Amino acid sequence: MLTANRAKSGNPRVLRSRKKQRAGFIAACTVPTVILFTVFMLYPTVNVFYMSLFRMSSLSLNKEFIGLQNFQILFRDEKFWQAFRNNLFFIVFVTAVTMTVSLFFAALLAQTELIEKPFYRTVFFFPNVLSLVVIGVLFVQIYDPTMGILTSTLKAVHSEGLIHAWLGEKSTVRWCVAAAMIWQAVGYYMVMYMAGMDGIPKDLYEVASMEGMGKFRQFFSITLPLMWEIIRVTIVFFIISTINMSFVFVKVMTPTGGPSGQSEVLLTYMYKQAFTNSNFGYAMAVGVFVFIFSFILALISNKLTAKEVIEY
Amino acid sequence: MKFMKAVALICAVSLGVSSLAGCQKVSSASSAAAQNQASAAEPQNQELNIAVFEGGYGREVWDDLAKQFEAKNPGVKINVTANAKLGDVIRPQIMNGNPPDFIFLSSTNESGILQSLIQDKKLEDISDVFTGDLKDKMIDGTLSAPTISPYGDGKIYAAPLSYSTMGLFYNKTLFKGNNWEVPTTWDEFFALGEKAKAKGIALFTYAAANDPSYNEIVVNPTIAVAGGEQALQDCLNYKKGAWKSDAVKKTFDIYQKIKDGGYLLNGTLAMTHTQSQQQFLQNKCLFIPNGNWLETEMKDAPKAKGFEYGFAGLPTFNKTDKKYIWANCEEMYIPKDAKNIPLAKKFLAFLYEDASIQTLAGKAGIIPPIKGAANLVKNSIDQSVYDTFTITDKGYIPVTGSYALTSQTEVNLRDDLYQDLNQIMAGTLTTDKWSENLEKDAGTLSSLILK
Repeated sequence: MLTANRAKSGNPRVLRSRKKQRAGFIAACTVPTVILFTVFMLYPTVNVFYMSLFRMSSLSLNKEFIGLQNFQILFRDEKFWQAFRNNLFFIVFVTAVTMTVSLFFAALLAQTELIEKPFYRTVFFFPNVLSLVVIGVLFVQIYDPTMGILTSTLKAVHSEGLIHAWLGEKSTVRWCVAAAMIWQAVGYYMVMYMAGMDGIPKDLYEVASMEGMGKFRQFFSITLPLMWEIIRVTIVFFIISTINMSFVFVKVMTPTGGPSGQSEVLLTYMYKQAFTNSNFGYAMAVGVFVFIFSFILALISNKLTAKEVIEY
Repeated sequence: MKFMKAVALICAVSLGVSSLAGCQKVSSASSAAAQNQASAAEPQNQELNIAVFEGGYGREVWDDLAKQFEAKNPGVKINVTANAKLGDVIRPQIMNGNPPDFIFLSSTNESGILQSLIQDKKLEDISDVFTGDLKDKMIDGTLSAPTISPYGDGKIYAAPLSYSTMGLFYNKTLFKGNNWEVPTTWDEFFALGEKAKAKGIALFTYAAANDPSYNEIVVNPTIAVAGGEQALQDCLNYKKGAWKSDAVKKTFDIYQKIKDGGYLLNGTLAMTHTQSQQQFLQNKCLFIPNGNWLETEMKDAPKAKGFEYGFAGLPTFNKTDKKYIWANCEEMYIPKDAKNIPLAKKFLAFLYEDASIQTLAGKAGIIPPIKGAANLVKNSIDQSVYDTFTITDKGYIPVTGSYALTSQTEVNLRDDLYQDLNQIMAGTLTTDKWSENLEKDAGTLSSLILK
């Protein structure tokens, strides 16, 4: 085909100018995005690293260069490490539960012949459409210690012993915030997994059933391996979105970081230091840590889950 | 093919132009600033940009004041920016060197704007507004508070707009109906708690979930009662041993007693300020520490039948103790980089005039610390607001103060103080450890106090 075109125009000058035209067109299309990306993503990120070397207030009017001192303080700061541990809890717990639940529902909806499938799909995806703040406020009301649905339900089934001040007690606050995050995320990942499962040819399952494989075996031996690439991608999504969304959920549900800092996460601690404490340079040091941490975590999880891609 | 190319080109160009849209805004802002500079030179046609916090009070009062000022000064235009998250709104403006001319955002706001401006020395000196008559009218001590005159040089950098005392609110009707007396000592306080328990009513609640620092209303004056004003000031200035003193121990023991005696409203630890106030209005507990904004804030909330707001000072340890009550101001100030400082100062002085006081009190329950102001506006404010202003007539000495300003640090003693209070209520901390934690914080902070 290429040679046919060459035969047609033949003249190298025309070829070159056509190439130039194409290159110019591509450049014109991508340049705006590059500009936006640089201004709104690259520059602020570089700025965060830069500002973490200073002692400054949130108005950045007077700066004092202190080198890596902020990081030295960071490593000794007990509150920071508590926020870090809480963040790890959320990342691990929310990821594990959401992935399990959404895989389960996706398998149910993709591989069975339920008539109400579209209805369930809508209902499960709906929480993802709501704004995070709305969901946070909703759960604050559900967890209200005297009037909330959770407490009232427990009272109605005579389990008063199980009642706690949900968002006010050390032992329950993290689970409660995690529950809200899980509720929000399940729908999104379920839809992603369903799309992946739909791509698996049905005859594989037919053959497996004929060979006598149970539904569970089928799931672990056929579905999961073929979905592995998608699951790998979603793990990275989980890490990023949990870190990001934990800020909104914690801020809305436990504005002060929970009882004795039990639900403080890295981003809320950063916000607290930056604005309430007017300690902006230090907050930027926290930001640098979050950046490097999520980067490394994503790299590690990618490496650990790398497998030979199975084709069918 | 050619048509598609044209469409693609138009899309690319519009994308490119839209990325410059951001630049447009910046340049128009700076040209507006240039215009302001130019108009500042002319006495007529002046524009004033004011930024005010919109809290329980709402913004109506500021719109009215702006209109009154404009009427008094023809040719002046005031632009009011009112927002519940004012800190976030004006921070970028301040960072760009384009701050509002006048700001009303108190030092207790979580955005920390006033503290930042003080630390960066970016406030205009407004001592020349407080001369002669005005200076004499101000209530004693209000012009020397740490956030008003932060550099210890006697010069005034922020002005107190809303002055209020804070104490314990209760329901007068509930007390009358049960023949209960407002307690004047802590022993009476806990005895009353026992009587209330018998009726299934708790004694005390507060905003544990989102703002346990409401307890400052109890903690600070009680330290003053137990150990004198010096004991309190030592604590606020991070003096060595201050947080382990007897005065502090006695105060902390009160909270321990509230927890041990089961006097705290069930579920308090998970309640926000509005939730705890809601429970209070339903007679689920006797007392809640609060300020004069309570009635306005909860005006649409359902209340127990015949609810009548009562305001009481704090109990003391002995009947003969000096009675202290926590007072503070919400501040207004003018940034040094403001474009129209003379007009801003004029507006600031205008707010202390009688007509403005009427508007502030009537529309927002705000009363400036001017002698006799409460009586001037008695008819346009809620009874509870009047009570908070006149409690000083009952022998309560107003005590005020804020924590000494330090350079940037990750330690926040006030935060730790009230977070630990929550832990005491949860039973996960002892009062000794509480004192120890704060003493440790004070040790770090005392070396960082701004000179």
